[in-house]
Amino acid sequence: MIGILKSSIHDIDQNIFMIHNLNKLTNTSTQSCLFCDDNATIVAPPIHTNIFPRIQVLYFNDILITDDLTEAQSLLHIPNARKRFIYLYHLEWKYIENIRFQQIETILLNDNIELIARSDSHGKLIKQLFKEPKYIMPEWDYEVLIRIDHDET
Amino acid sequence: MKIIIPSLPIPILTYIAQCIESVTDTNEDIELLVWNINQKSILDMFDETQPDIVFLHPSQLNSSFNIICKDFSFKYVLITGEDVSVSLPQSPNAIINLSRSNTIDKQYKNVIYTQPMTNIPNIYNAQHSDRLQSTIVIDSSFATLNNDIMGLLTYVASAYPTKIIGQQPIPLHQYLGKVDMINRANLFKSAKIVIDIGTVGDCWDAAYLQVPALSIYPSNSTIFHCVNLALLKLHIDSLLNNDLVRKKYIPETYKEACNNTSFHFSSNLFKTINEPRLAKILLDTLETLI
Repeated sequence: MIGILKSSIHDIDQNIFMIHNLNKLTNTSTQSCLFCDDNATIVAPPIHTNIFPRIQVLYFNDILITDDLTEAQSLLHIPNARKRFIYLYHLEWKYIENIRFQQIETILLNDNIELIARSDSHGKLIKQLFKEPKYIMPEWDYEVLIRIDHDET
Repeated sequence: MKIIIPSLPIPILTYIAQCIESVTDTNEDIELLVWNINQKSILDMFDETQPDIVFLHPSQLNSSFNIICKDFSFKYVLITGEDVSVSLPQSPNAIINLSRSNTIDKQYKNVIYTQPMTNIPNIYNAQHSDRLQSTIVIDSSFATLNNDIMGLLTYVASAYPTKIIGQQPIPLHQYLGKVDMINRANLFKSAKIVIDIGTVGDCWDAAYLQVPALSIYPSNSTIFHCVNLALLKLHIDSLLNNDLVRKKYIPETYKEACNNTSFHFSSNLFKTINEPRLAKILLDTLETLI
């Protein structure tokens, strides 16, 4: 089962792609759920998968993915997660004000967290700066999510 | 001996403080205090600490300083980039001139100029880490970020695997944020080349860590100086691909880095203000580190 951890969901490209692909997953044998406190979408389609309050992620014991670098800081403290992934959708570290290397190092160079890139070119940069991404997943492609579910189970 | 250094964002003050701090463990009579100038007035600082030596900036030479000169006996080092315009009740024992030109009135003796140097306390014990390794590391902290520098950073970041760190944010994905002293040292040590775009001596820190360094400002004939992108590319490729160049360049620059350190600067400063014992302690400590 794949759990997605988000601080909030707004109408931006990556969330719309995520919802589309999670909805496609509901027609497959791969189960998914979303941990999020704030769903403020207007344009995006309705979400067909289960949504839980973020606090519930503490009890989650399967594959956990976040595309939010702020949420990624808490990934290591989710005790039961079997696999932890950061999906660097927009190479987000560049847009964080006053970023400190230590913030990045803790999560993106952590042996207990794997990285997912959105494209080969992103993957090349991420490998140069941090480590080789384990998966390349274009725009939350549900087929890659299925592969992650199979490979990591 | 009580030495007071104000908490000003001037690299040479930090270097001197770090050198003194590194000898206080073995010399209990030497005490270093960092003075937070925003929270304590100069009068209160003198009342509470009665320093033997104090480092001052021209902005602190006000009417309170006149009172202090009457009431206390102390030596002081003035750190400035401009001439001293006010009339001083007590002449400084030395002046550290931050400007590259001769801006200090000739009536003042003991004017010491700063130049890029190896700051060993900042990098000592750096470790190579596979996790941090990269081809090129650049520290943005003390760079003047004009169009030329931004062009150079953009070129290097696109042509080579590069990590940029430092106090000044750079709008490139290769910028990984501000670093602490230990991470900076380890990132330098884990790089194949360090490019120095500042003026305080990143190239010397790298040379001391036996990592080849290039500088975009002329620093010393030993360090490769790159006046344009073509020369920069030539030197980078030569250091990356030519083992013979690396094998010759690394020991040469290391030797030079060991002879151009913040310990030498600090020792020379204290010798100038007639503190030969502290000057010798600093040089003795340096010998144990190289």
